[in-house]
Amino acid sequence: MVTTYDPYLASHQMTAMIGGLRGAAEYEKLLGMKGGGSRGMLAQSAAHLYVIFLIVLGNIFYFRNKKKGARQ
Amino acid sequence: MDISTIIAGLLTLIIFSFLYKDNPFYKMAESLLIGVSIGYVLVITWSNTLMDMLFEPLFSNAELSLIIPLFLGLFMLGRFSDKTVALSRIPIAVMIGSGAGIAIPTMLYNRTIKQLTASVMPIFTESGGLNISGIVVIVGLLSTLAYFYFSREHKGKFGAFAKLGTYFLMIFFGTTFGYTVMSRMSTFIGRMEFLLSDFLKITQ
Repeated sequence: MVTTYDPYLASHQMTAMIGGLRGAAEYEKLLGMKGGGSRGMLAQSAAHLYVIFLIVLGNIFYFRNKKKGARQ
Repeated sequence: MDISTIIAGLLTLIIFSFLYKDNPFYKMAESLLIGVSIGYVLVITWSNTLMDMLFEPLFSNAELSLIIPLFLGLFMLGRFSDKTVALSRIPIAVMIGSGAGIAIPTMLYNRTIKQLTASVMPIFTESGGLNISGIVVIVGLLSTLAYFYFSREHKGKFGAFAKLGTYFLMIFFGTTFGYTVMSRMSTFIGRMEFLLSDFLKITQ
């Protein structure tokens, strides 16, 4: 959804956008309060690291299998 | 703990139970969600649209011009019978005609003209340096358009330029997918936070 509306932000048709949990955490920081957005950031960052790990792992296996296939 | 928290917590757990296996409780929660959603839309439509915008102004304030939308709405129900189906074409024609009349200029202005204006950025900055983001936008825009231009074969320099467009498209799709994953995780984190703090009181 954020990427759909990003062009409208770039063309100044929209003034601002709060995107996802990160947006909520940024907004909370702007207001000087700690709420659900800030609390969820640690879990979200950990989940992102896990996803990155899986992407790297998937790529390693993909290229390894490709190499094996080329040898055979 | 109030009753709404208990119901919300139990329904969340029932929905999560699908991760293990499809079961009758999950089906019940799914049907409940659809039923509640339709019921909510029905009540909102009745109170906010039909009552506030039609029946009250028409019958209490005698705004007689509202007879036209009232009849147009009733004509729509003509689709239920073969004898009266022709009547339903009138409100559909009004809807499509007025919808297109409102949407076309708005879309043309907001999604084409304004977006094109935003794409045309100066290549040089005020200090005389190169405006990198401006160049990226122009190259991305032209190469993506080249990819969707099928009147010329994608070969040679044009083919290479069109291929560059696919990379810009892949970046867009990747970013969109990444944001979708992020939003789903945000939803999951929100639910887990509700379960652990409000429902089970394990964390504060």
